[in-house]
This record gives sequence, structure tokens and C-alpha cells, in this order.
Amino acid sequence: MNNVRDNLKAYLDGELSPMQMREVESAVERDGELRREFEEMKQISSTLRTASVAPTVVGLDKTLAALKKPVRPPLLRFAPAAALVGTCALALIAVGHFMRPQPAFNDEIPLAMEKNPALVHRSRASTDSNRQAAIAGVMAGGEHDDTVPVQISPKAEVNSRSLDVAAERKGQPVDALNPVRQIVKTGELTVLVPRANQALDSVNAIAKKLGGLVESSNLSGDEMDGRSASVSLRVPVAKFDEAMQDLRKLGKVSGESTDGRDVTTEVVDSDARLKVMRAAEQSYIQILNKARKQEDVLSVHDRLDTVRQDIEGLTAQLKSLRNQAAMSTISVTITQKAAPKVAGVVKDNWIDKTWAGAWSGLGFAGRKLTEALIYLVVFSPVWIPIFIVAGMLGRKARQLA
Amino acid sequence: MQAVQEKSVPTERLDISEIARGYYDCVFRFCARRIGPDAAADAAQETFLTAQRVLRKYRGEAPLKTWLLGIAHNECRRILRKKRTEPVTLELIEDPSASPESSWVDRSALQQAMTKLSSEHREAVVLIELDGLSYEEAGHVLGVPAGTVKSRLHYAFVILRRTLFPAGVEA
Repeated sequence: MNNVRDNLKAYLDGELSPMQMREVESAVERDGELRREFEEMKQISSTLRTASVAPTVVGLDKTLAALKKPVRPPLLRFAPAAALVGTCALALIAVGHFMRPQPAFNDEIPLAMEKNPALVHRSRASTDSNRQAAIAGVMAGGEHDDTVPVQISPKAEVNSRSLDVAAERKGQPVDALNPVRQIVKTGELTVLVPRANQALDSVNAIAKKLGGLVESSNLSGDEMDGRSASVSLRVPVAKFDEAMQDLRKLGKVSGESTDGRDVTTEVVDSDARLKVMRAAEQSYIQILNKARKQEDVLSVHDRLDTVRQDIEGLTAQLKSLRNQAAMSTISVTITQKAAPKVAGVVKDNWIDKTWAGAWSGLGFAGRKLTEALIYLVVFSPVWIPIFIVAGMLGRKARQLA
Repeated sequence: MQAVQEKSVPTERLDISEIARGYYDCVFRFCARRIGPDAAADAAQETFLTAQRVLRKYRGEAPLKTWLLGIAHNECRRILRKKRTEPVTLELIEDPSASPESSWVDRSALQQAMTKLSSEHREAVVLIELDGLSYEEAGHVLGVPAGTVKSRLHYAFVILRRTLFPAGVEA
């Protein structure tokens, strides 16, 4: 019976299958209660259908006029918002690129070093406690030389630099030593020349003119297959730039690089250690002279040997460093083009060049796209709200139109 | 029959202006019953503009009228959500030409009872009784099966009967 009751409204609306219709119909005829329910439903339904107010229809003309306006393709509809968002994103990327925070150390230290190069060589900290003790001993012994700084560990050096910069900015005097800066400069140059022999002679001449020397050179190949030579020359560090300029004139430069390594810290550190060791050597000699027992003599002698070996090694290292700093090394690779095998026919490798160029361009574009994507992701908290606002404004504008 | 005829029309030949002329009244009234006559014109216009944009996607799965009412239904819901208001109250008038059985029901009580229905039940009642849709068409508009419409309508009428004829209703 409940099933029939559930179908009563559908029966009234004629939404049942013929079989169900007959079933409900007979049930309604048999059951007075069902019939009463059916009648009540019928009354409600009839009242709803007849008594509801039919609103007056207006606005058809306006709608037809609106429909006659050309419909912009979906992509064009979002074009203003997309353009706005794109512009904002690009602006943000540009702003972000130029305003991104730089590490404080890189920013401040070169400036401070420019003002006072001695800042980086202050004796402030060392991780090597033994050496620190030794240095302290030497200094206490009155053998300390103001020109001799001690090695500073990288971490301590950073702290030292920061403190010095801070101190200098506050106007406090900086207790700086003043070592001569030792820079090991190296350069590499690849030149394409018409004649490798002549170029090799020219390199020799340049080295002599500038007070340098050719350390090594070799020449290989022949006129037909092309020749190549590599030369390593040493020139005084003051003449490095002049040498590079002269070498560039040899032919067409296809590659060039220069490098400068500041070895001041290494030099002053080695110097300080050398002085400490020499002091130790003198002490051992004095002890050795006073030693009476054979056992003591041997023991002190052993130590003296060790110290002297260290002194030798350190002296050689120091000499090498000073030599490197005094004379710059320039490696020159000279290439001579092979003679064309068929007269008048010049092989043009434009396809290879284009291919390589295209690949290079693709890589560059990919890198830039990835960079842009990273910026977009990082700046998403900024541009997503802008995008949402632009979308809302666009929707509003469309509705008003 | 109308649905069959509509389905047989190739969608490329459908002209939105013709569609608007044919179905504007129906869509307007549909909107007016949900958001009021003042906002109905805008909602109806937006319905046809939306239909114009997506007409090429219409494949005739549902009758055109049902398809349009579905868009109108979404548009009305969007407007109600935006305005944060409830659907308008159903307005019933005394009709002298009404059938005798309908005059047995107290119209103001029915109007009041309709406001107490849940939005789902009220929507089913309005679609079937006022918009004159079949269960299947109402299901298309609401995006639910016809059986769900039947069930909602049944329970809506149980509630209405309980309110209007408290003595005779069984749970």
C-alpha cells in the first residue's frame, strides 16, 4: 500500500507506466483513505497551477539586441584580462629581478676592500689552535713583524670582515695590517691566424718585449691539413693586459678567458708560518747546544730536522706563490686554417652553424621560459589575486555591456 | 513530440535569435518565479547570451527548452548566490475562473507552506506544477534522474498536505 501511496502524485501527473497507473487507479477506487489523499493532492496541484501569478514578460527586444552583438571568441574574451595579468607578471618579474636581495657579504666586502684592502688580513681568529699558540708565542717573544699577518680561517675571516665593515661604518678606527696584494693572473687565448709559424715568432717577440719569456711551445700539423700551435708564456703581472692586447692582434680571436686569484692570504700565512718555524729552529739550536745527554741531543736533533724540512717546503711554496704572482701565465692556442683542397671552392658549413645556433637558441629559450615559470610560481600569491580581480572586473564589464 | 522535433534539428541551423523569440517567455517566467520579475529580464538575457556562446556544444541530448531552462536555472542560482538572498515567495491570487476543487485550498496557507519547503522540494514543485515540465524534463533541468524528481515531489506534497490538511496526513 505504501508503494501505491508513494506513486499517488506521479499517478496524478500521469508519470506512471500503464500497468502502474491501473494498479494505483484500482487502489484509489478500493481505499477511501487513498482516495481522500489523492483528492487533497489534486486540490493542491490545481490551486498551484491556477492561482499562481503569471508575470508580465518584458525585455525580449533588449535580449534580441544583445544577441546581435558579435560574440567574441573565448580566447579574445579573456584577452584583456590575460594581457593585464601578463603585464603585471612581467612587471613583477622585472621588479623581482632587480630588487632581489643580494647576500650581504658579497655586497659589502668588495666595497670595504676597495676602501681598505688591509681589512681582510687582520689577525682576529684561527681554527688552528696550535698555530695560534705558536704565533702568540712569537709575538710575545718580540719577533712579531707588523707586516706579517696570520692566516684566518674562512669562517673567521667572514666574521672578521663583517666586523671590520661594521666598525668602519661606525667610524671606529680599523687596526689593519697592510700587506702587498698578491694576485696570480692567468689568461687563455685562442686565435685563428693565416700563418702559425709567423704567429709563433710574434708571440716570442711579445714575450721578450714585455720582459717575459716563453715557457713552452709546440707546433703541429702541416700546411695542407692546417697547423696548430700552443704557447705558454710568462709576463710580468704589470704587463699582463698589454700582453693580452698584443696577442689579440695576432689574428681572429675565437676564445678568450682571464682569471685572477688572490693569493695574498696564502702568502702572508706561509710567511708567518715560516717565521714561526725559524724561531722554533733557533730555539732548538740553542737547546741542542745546551744538551748534555745523548738522548736529549738525539731527540732535539729529530725535531730540528722536522722543522727544517717544513721550512724548506714552506720556502719553496712561498717562492712558487710569489713567482706566480710576479709573472702571469698566458696560454695561447694558435690555429691555422687548412688550405682549401679544391681551388675556388670554399666549404661553407652554414647548415652546421644554423643547426648549432638553433639548438643554442632552443636551450636559451628553454632556460628563460623555466626562469619565467619559476618567477610566476614564486609570485603566484601576487598575480593570482590580480587575475581573479581582473576576471571579476571583466565579468562585470560584460554584464554592464 | 516537441522534443523529438527539436532533436532532429541540426545544431548548425539553430539561430539564437529565433530560439530567443520562441522561448523567451518561458525562460522569463521561469526566472521570474525564482528571482522575481525585476531581475528576471537580466537573468533571461544572460541565459540567452550564455546559450549563444555554448550553442555549438548543444548536441540535442535534451530538448531545447529543457536545455535553456537548465542554463536559466544555473543563472538564477548564480544571481541568488551573489545577492545572498532566498528565492522569491510564490505569489498566489484568487482566481474566479478556477476549478471548484482548487477553491477548497486556502491560498495564503499554501503560499506560506511553500516557503517552508526545502529549496530542493520547492524547486521540484515549481518545475512540475508551475513550469509544467515532465519529471524527465525537470530532471534534465536540475541535473538529477527523473526518479529523484518523483521522490522530491512526493515528499513535498506530503509536507504540503500535512500543513494544509493536518487531520488526514500519514507520515
